[in-house]
Amino acid sequence: MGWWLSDFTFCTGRYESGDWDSAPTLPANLIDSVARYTDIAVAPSAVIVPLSSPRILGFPLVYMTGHLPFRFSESERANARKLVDRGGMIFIDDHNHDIGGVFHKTAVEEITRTFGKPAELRNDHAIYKSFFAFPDGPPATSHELNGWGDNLVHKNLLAVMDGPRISVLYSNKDYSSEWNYHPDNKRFSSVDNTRFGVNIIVYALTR
Amino acid sequence: MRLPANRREWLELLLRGTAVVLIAVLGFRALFPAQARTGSDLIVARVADLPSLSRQSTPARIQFALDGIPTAVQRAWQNALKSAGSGVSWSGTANPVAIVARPVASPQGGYTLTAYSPDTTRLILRDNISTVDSMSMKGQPRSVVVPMASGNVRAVVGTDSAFARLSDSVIIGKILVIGKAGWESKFVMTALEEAGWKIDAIISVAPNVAVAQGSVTTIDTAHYAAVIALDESAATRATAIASFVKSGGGLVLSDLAARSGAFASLRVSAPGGAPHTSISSDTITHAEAAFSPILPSGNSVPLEERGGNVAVAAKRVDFGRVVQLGFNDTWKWRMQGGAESVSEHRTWWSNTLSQAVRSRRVTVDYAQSDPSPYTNLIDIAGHPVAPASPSQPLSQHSNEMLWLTVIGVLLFGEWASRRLRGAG
Repeated sequence: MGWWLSDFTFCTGRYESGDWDSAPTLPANLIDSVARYTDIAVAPSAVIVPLSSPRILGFPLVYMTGHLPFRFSESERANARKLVDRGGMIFIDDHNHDIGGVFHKTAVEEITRTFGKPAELRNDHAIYKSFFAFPDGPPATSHELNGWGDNLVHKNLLAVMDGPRISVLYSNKDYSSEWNYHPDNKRFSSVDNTRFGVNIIVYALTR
Repeated sequence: MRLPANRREWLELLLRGTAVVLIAVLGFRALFPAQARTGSDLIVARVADLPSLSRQSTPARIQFALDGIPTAVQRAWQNALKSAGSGVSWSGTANPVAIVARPVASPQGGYTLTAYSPDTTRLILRDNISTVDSMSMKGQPRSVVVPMASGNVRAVVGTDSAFARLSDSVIIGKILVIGKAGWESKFVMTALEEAGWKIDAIISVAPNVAVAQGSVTTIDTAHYAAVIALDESAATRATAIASFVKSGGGLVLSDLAARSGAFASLRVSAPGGAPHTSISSDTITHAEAAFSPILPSGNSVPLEERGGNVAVAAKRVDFGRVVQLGFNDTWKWRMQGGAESVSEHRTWWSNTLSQAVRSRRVTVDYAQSDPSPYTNLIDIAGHPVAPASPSQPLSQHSNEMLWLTVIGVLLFGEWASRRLRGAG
């Protein structure tokens, strides 16, 4: 953007305990969507930053996913807490989309330990209308509709709030699988399924 | 008349006669004042003599021997004598001291106390409760911001002081933030809301799509105290913003916004292409603090300097004020700074904005202030002069008391003598 104002850079948080890189093409896909639908200045390439590094504080929106047990190290927990306390937002997505799965259990435990207990996010929350309108709440993923995983369509996302603002957003709808494809393949979709990803980014940048 | 029969009666007659003569002299002095009687037109007096001076007919000239600045009441009395026709001058020593208290135009309140004393002195600031601060004066006015104070604030130098009554809190309207969706706009709004400012925002997300926060309305001084333009997206409203500023509103222009030609008439100066200055050991943060130096123009005032370059500057535009920033990425201070970075970022933005905002009302009760007693003394009695000759009476009142005492002793002696010898 312009003179030297920082562009928005999509950041994947790398944590030590699990398979943090299980959705490698998701960042490029969301970057493509942000550039396609908005005039937000977005960096063309995403970054991967260790959550244990102070560099993570330069990226106020951090995306994390995985299938395996999810645990923060002490330095990861300290940085994650600092990022949220200073006004940043963390988006964690369960790549398994099963409510009894190991990622879900351990991630919710870790979120509770680090940030406080997450609660169901109302489906009329501002994040569902920050750019595209999702009047019914979080859009269902094809994996949910196909009956994979726990065979459930999860009605709500979970969130830890800082006043009216979401500081930690947790999904077990498996957006990581839903959005993990090359952006060129969007042309084969009648409705772009990454639109809710745009909402998450616009929400993080404006609230 | 029978002559005294002995020396005792001669003594009684002498006492009575002396008393009568003294009474006559006193009557004469009352009818014909000292300067008329002696030919001198100058009275050297102290401020404590003001009551007795006022009981006399108007002296032609009065010189007050001072060892400090008279109180406001005493100066008013001196001024009354001057208005009545006396020439008033003064000699001695008094410490020049002055103070101004202005409320900070911020939801967090506080006062900016600006004190002045020309000499290299220790100046102490006090309010009605305790000492607020102290400062070493070096011939220049100095300011300090205090979060709260009670009653009057007083600047004390030696035995002299000036005081200012604290005004009511200012009333501040809402702030309108205009910018593109991004970390800078988000964290500027966050910081200001944390500081208590009421924010409306127009955040551009896509062509013809903006996220509005609050109840965005017409940009005028009835609705907003200041506008913060964070980037070129504000240029589409530049005409309304210019009108707003000229009618008394405040404007904070980030470096990116100032680069827009739409703000050419409002900006302090056109940002140049100078290399950015990155200060890794900056005081506000250890984060990157890159900025584009502002080139001050003739009517601008530098507000903040970093590394010898102007980082923030302000200027007046008609009735309004414009504060131009050399910064664009202040959000990094908050996210990547030290342990206090959140409060430092919040305070920096709140303080910077408070220098631009239009505050709707400041009620100052000047009648109960004495902000500059020394200049008031100069206004009444001029600059100090060399002390006049001490041969002139310092106190007419004390002399009169002495004379009355002597008369009383004489008459009492005469009466006692007569009673002791059995006379009527």
